[in-house]
Amino acid sequence: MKSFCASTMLLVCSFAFAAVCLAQDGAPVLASGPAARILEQASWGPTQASIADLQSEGLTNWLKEQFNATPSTIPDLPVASLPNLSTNQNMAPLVENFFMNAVSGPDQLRQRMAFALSEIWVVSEVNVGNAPAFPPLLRIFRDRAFDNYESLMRDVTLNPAMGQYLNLANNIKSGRTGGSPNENYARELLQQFSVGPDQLNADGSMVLDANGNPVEAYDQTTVSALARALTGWTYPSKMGVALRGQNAPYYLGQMIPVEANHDTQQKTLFGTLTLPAGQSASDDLTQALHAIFMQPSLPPFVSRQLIQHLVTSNPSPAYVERVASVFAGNGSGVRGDLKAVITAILTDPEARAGDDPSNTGNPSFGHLREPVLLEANLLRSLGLAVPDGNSLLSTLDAMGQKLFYSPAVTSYFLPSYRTSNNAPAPEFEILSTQTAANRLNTIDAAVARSSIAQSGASTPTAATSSPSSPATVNIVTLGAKNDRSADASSIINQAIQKAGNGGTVLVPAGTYSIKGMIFMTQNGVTLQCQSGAMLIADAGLPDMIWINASNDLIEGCVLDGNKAVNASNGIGVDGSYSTVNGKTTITLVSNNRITGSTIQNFAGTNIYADAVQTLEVDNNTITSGGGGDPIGMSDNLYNISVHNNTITTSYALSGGAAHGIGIHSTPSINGPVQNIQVYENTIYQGAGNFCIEILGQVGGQPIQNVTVHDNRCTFAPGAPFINGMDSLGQVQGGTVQHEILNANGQNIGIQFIELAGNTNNVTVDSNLLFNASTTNAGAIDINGGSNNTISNNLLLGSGAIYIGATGNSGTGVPCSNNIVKNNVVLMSRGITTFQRGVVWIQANFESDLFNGNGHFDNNQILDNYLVGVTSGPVQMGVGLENDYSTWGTNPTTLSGTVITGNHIYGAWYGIGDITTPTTSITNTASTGNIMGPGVVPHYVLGIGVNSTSSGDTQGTSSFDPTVIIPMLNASFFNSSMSQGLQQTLKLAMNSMPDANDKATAAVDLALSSAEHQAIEQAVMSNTSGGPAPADTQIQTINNLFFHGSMSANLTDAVTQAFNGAQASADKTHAALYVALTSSEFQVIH
Amino acid sequence: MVSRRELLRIGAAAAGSLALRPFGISKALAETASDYRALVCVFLYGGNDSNNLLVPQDAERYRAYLSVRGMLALQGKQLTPPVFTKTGNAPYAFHSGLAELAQFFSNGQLAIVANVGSLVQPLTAAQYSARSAAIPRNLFSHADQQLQWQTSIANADSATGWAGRAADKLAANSTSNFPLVLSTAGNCVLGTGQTTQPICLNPGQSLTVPALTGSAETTQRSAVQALLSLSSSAPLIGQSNQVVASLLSAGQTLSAALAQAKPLGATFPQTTLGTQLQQIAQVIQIRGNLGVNRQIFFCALGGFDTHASQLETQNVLYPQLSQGLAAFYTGLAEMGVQNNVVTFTASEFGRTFQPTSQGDGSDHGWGGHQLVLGGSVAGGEVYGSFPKFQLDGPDDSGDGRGRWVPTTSVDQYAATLCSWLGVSAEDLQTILPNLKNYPSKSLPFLT
Repeated sequence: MKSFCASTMLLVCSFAFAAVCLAQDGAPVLASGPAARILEQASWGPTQASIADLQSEGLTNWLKEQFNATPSTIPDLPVASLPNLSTNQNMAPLVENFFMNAVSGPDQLRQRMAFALSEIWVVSEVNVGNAPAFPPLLRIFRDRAFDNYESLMRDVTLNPAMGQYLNLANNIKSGRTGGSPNENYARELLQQFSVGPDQLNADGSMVLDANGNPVEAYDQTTVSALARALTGWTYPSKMGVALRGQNAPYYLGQMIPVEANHDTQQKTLFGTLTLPAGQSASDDLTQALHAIFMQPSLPPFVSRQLIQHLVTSNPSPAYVERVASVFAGNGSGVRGDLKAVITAILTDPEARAGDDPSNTGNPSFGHLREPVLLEANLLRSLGLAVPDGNSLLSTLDAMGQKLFYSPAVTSYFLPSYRTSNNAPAPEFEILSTQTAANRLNTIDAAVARSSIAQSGASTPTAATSSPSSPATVNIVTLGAKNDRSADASSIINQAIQKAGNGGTVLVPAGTYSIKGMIFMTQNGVTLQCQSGAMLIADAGLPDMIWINASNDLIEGCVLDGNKAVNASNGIGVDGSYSTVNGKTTITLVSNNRITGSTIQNFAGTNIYADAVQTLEVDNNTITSGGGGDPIGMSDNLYNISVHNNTITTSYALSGGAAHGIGIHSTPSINGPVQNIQVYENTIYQGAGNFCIEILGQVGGQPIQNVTVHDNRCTFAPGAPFINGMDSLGQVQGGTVQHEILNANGQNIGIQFIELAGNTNNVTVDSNLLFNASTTNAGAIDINGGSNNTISNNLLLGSGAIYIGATGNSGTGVPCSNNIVKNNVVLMSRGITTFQRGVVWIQANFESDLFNGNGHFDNNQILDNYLVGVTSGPVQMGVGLENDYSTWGTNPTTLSGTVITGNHIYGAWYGIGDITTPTTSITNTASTGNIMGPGVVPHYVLGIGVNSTSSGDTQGTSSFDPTVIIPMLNASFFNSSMSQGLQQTLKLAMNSMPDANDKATAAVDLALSSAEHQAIEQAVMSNTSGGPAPADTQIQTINNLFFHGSMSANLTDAVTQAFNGAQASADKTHAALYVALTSSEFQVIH
Repeated sequence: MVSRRELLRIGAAAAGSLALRPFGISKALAETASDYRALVCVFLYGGNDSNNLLVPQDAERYRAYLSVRGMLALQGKQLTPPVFTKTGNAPYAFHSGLAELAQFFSNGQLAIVANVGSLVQPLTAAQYSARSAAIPRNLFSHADQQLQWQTSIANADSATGWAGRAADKLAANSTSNFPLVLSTAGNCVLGTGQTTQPICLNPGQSLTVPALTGSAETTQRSAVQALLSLSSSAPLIGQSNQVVASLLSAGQTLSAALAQAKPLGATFPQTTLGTQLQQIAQVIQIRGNLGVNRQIFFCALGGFDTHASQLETQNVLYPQLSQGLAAFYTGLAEMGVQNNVVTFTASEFGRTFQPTSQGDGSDHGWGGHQLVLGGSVAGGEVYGSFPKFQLDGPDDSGDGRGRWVPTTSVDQYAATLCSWLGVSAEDLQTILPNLKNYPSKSLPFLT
């Protein structure tokens, strides 16, 4: 059951990486930081989807789900790769399978546990030299990962690959040659796999004798006796081959006993335990393994290593003891219950302490990311395709950990390895200057392959290392007709399959009839249209092109929905949902891009996306032909970048509903939406809705980390009603910057920019609204939300800046700690409806209709120019209103408002409160506000109880509209406006009759100036794409790779790299490179 | 893009120009040899069965050898023609795969040090059986004895090795910041000191980091350097920083210097060990650019854990060892430094003299024989004490399988090598804390 983050909880948790937050029902809910950190320990690395999943499940439920997740498949390998070879030494398919499972398997924790076990119970291809030996062995680790350690001991002991590696297979009693039974397996079973050479206390420390010396856990006599006890086993008999005393290597099934080769004399283990003479091979084996299993050293020996592999190199003795005690008994009297052990490891207070990033009590916590883990992390978190097995092997070898080729039975690195400073650090045994160089270069290559870094780079690169050069398939060559004389869809589908991963489907100039859907279900395909190529729908298709794959690219195509046939959608980018036993598994598609294309005349949505990761839609020309959003996306969206598109909606065509760009989470699907960038788009909005809406619908998931900047929206003339420019709803963290809306003489239907219900931690900065006519609605509204900042905006012809809680989505949401600063608000002259204030804080009934508890506290109104309409319906400069404080059981509060340094014109009063009862607005502090002529500083009923004011005075000068010139310069001229242009703007103002005209004239002149056009050209014709501002990208990196705990020093270095890189595409690469090569990333902590 | 075919063509041309100048060593470099000394450790991982490295050919011992070793016993063409010690003219034969080494032995450039192993103090088999004297911890274990060979502290944990501690002392006299220890086989405790961190360079690989060294990458580089310059309170992050910092300082120095290296005339076998020794020879060639006059090198060859298929395995590994060392010696002689470099083997343990019941392998033992090669070696001799080929005999550690109790300790072996390198007797006391337990501090195999 989803413990969905309720709205008030998010105030506490979103972007604050507090360890645990409490939902309204009191149940703990994980913040994303701790969730990412757990996934570092318990999976092959966090992804945005897995973080969201763990957050909603909580650790306990997530563990249960992991215990029950379907195990990934590990298929057998052919016994020989060629007819004339006796062995198949090709490990590449197995390595590829391993990483495919690691990257996308649902059984992440099982895989991590299985891998840890495989690093204890080592078998190496270096000696075995036969790839088919491995799958059966690996399936034991997989299948016993959550089972019992004693069962694991028996399975691996009788596994033929282990039998071959450590010579238990065909080990025979003394007599035939005069030699003694081979000790290899017996010794390593004790030393590496079970008890270790020294006797251990329950906390993992060594037992010491009276002289303070370590005590050995077994002696040579025990090794020799155990070797004899384990004689007599041979490989399983291959089907149809008769059993011989010593079978040839065969890897399927368990080894079998040959009693004639078994030493039946009495053996004594550990000095006291006797295996009587005359026992069978099987009885001796069972009893010997049980004796080892019951050794007191075994629980701490195994527990400590599992902790080291999953959590930390240097666990405290108390941590080891807690886990070892669970190993020794799970509470139901079972010893060796690995499900209980892994639960104890991951839920231990020592493992979880660092979830709170302020907890710096244990600087030596954590462990180095071993190369296999590093590679899996990079593939998962950067959303890369899994390379082929040979290329994986060579990458891992270079980093010092060639998977399945452990150099010795002591594994890739020793659990006991210490740095020269004596810090326990197993993985550091394989970190040398050489492997460090190879790690840095591997990370560099991975970052280069990542489309996170490439946003806008020419082509998403499919990570193939196919030796043949990528195919280019020309559809005309394949028989497609370029004169619209025959359906081309099936030929294009053939071409896609033929091009294959890394290939290109080429569409030459001409018009192609499309009567069936085009299925881009092959990874890594580019659909490349030459100039003059158009695909036109000649049937009512649901989607013209459906992308259900990764690393695909559509470039330069003209797609026409042909109103005559009513084709619905242009391009769908669509991950998969499958539900088994009530649990829905979502498979995201990733790294797709749609660029340089024209998509027009579709009745539905031109481009839609659903369940995708890392999608870029850029430099397209899109015209809506129906009621859907031209670009519409919803649910399970991660790393979406929509930029530099030109979008036209038309009331005539659409009937009035569409947004230019709509990105939503919905209650029906209820999937996360995170890291959304929408920038530098040009939108001609005539359809009636917001130009851009990014909204978590009521009941849908909150949207995290939104960046909206430098979009240009113009209202179409004659449109009957258009809501406004940007609407953000249920957004947790983000920025809206440098937006320009030219209302083109139209009314603004709702707001210029709206932060709808429960939107928190958003900055709305340096935006421009102008040419609005008879605006009666808000300019910038916070309809429920806290910790938002509204600064440096220039609002010409607007309504009020409003802080309240309106509409369904705002219900029950506090509106506190918002800052309104350095804005110029020049209200619409045509305003006719009553405005309580130019800045209006309204503690209204919707804030908490039934329960009281509404809070509108500690908002700050600082240094604004607030210009109402002289003799109009504008009551105050800053109006505070609390009408419903008597509703419900607790009074709604409006307290602690700080009002400082504002310039107020064109209102009846400067500052004041309206409140019922009169005591419900409290602790207002106003200082140094300057009122224009005719504005009475304070309302007759005052500014609230327990309030203070000083220096609020009435001045003599009117509003000076030239204050907008430096704002225009800073926001839209990179502070480079020439003195000449500034002079021109002042002159233009002189010639106009009133402040609104003056300001509008100046803005018109400024935006149409050659200086601005040059700047605009550079910004808006960004065909190579570009990353979001540094802080947004660095926040993403911090969340995904550092569980929100990136140090200040690293943040500085990453910012430095980001800002220092020249080309925009290089900026993210530089930032990611510095972040991922840092020691702070190498060491999981 | 250069096509694959073009690359092959360019490669061929480069090889051609190589062939034209087989003796590319500048005279100036050769002249700096006077005050240069280096040790090269060849670690044979897995526990080399040196019972088959060198086989006594006197009738009594060879007969004892044949009677116990069974299927493992080398006979006829499995052995080189006999060689004779300078002192006493005792006959021995090398494994036939070690023909080059047999020649070095006869020429006096190769010595054998017999039955060396980890000890805490002088120890007899009787003392061991009775546990009446200090013994190494966790005997017959790969991990433990590998470490003990490298730390030379068999009775306690140590994170530093004897060569690293020696390098700490020698570095005090070095005018260069370049690390005195270089490994071609990854990290090695042997070469890790309190202050010395080995620089690791795998043959055929590079320490260059294009993203941090390219001319266009100044911002990334300065951001990374800024991070590395900060100290971290977290030891693991600090250690990672240290490795990367070493890569970006010493590693880049080494890369730049190696770009100046001239090809050697000696032909190195392109094997695991051969390429490592070739790499080491190249570093020795550019020692002047590095500014060092004492160096310790570490290279390694694995696969010696011959519980089974021992004859087949040694038939592959021994020629690789022998041919690699021979090429290396040729390369050193070409540079005129054959008297300035001493190459020695190490291996965690010898193996049981008695084979396994299947007969084709041997189990973990203790003492084993080691090779020391160089112009300064008093070669053609077997130093130390050869074990008596008798199960349950005076050298057998007790359970009748011929695990020889060492008669020369790693301490004495290391002390001899360190002294030759220039470590003072006083410093040896701290580098090798157990050396004080031995009446004889060294063996006379170096001059």
